Amino acid sequence: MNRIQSNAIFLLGMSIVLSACAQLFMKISMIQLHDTGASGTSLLFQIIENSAVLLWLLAGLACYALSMLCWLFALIKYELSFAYPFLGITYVLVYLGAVYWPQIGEHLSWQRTAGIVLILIGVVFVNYNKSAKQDRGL
Amino acid sequence: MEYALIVLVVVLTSLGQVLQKLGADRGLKDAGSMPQLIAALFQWEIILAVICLASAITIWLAVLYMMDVSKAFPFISLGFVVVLLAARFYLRETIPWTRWLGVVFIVAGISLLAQT
Repeated sequence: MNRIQSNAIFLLGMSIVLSACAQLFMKISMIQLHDTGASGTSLLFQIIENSAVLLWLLAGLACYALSMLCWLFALIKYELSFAYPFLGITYVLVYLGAVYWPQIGEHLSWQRTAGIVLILIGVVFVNYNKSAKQDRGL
Repeated sequence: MEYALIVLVVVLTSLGQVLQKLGADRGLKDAGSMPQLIAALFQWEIILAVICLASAITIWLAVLYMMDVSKAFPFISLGFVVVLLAARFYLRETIPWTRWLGVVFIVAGISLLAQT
């Protein structure tokens, strides 16, 4: 499995980008579903009947599955405590995507930005591990 | 309602993460050929991880239907808090102070987001 080992950092990066795409695509799908005006059990039928809802949902799920696969293979090489903080980048990507993607168009607010920055600092601290440094394998 | 669903997603996702790591450690590391690799993907840890993550994602879609993704997604970091508390009080592990500090930051960040 040498080829997987040397591509581990690429796999880690792919996993992060795909996971952010998965969130954004699923959100677009749910926005489209919301726009159909359906409610109750007819929501489920709308998911299958409305091609825009279904396509964004499938794209989101595909990104999610691929992201999980990349993550799994990256974990063969990296310790979880080294790999996990990088997933924090996903919070930033999802936030920027949600704000700047026209179809989503959520609001940029200082409070939300500050919240995400605090979470990022927290994620790094939670995974900070002096003794694991030599296991990074870089 | 949204927040209860988010907690459920967090618990299922954390469980899925641990199972993925167990599966990667046990089978995938030693797989030398394609058939061995495929067989390793169908061990029980990985299958259970997929079931956990599939249920989590279904509930997550309901959350996204109700909430902004830029607000809802960071709540997933509650997973760190869940795992840390489980490690401390269920597995009786000693937790370095930097981890508690990290959890304080995460909870502070989430409280800010919850007000938006």
